[in-house]
Amino acid sequence: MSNLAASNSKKPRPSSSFLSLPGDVALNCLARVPRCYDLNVSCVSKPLRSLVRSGEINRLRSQLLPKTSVYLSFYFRYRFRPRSATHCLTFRPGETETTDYMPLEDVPIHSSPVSVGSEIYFIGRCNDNLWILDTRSRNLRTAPGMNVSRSMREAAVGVVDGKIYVIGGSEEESQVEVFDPQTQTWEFAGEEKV
Amino acid sequence: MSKKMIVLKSSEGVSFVVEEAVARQSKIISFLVEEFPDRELPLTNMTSEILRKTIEYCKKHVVEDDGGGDSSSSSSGDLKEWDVKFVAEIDQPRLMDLLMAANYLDIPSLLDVTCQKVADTIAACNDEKEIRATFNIENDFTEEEVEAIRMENQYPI
Repeated sequence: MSNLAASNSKKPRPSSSFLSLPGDVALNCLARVPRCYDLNVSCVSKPLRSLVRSGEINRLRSQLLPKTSVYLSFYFRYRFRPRSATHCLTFRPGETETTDYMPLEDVPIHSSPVSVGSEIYFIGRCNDNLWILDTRSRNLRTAPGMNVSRSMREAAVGVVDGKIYVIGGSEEESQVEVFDPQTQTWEFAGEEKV
Repeated sequence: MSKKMIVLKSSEGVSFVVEEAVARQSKIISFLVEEFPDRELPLTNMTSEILRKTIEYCKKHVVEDDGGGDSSSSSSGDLKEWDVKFVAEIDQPRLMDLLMAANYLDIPSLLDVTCQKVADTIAACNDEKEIRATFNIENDFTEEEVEAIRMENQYPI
């Protein structure tokens, strides 16, 4: 194909292995592959699998990919299993194929999801923890739950100025609770100076 | 008016005389010409072929900021189209070499387009076997292990 290569009279060289790339370059390539192909890549070899599962690739992707994604969380009642579980699907503009699937089995069902920045907060009843999904790293962590016991089916949840407000859903006198993602704490709204 | 030229030498010892502004798109070369002016730079891990390709890319992307009104400055749309064609014409082994060159010389925009091309190639593969063959990757999984990975990633429904 090339005169120059021929003049070297070497036998046709196979492609350098992908695995000979420096780690950050290999990640740079893999982060650009749409997530729907992650499974194919995971099955190629062990080193590739660990790259695809690394937290680093998620950080890179969040820099490379469009910021707007739609997350659909749902719980699924298994017929033959004792408990239901929450799941999450991601839809990204420009990706038409299978969406990204995340099992969130620990997140209590009937919790109300709201998003603040790149994080999704699953607000459960009083005794439940607050579950937080960092969509960049795909890590799930917990924070303390609310003080008042509420039915999340009846409570109203909203985000104002980056804080999460929960109103209603309890038998007690209506108390509004506010979660501040900066401090990761709950307070009663009445205690704030308005 | 005369433009400053520098000499880049490939692994085969072939010299390429390049305008400094063109070569300075490489952050490494940019650093080296400041440290060692008037010296030719040996690039011992780059073949002439890959060096020529890299220079071709840098020539196209050099920013003419002397306001001379040369017709050589391309609009960003044209440049994108040119980039796509540039990497499309390169075969797989040379793409990997060019990617390594872009990384070694630290040319961010060339690294971007070559990484993207590799990603597009991976996405175009039908399965893991095709990815292994294309990128010369050894399979270190047993068939059962691959099966297990596929199972654990299945939708619950």
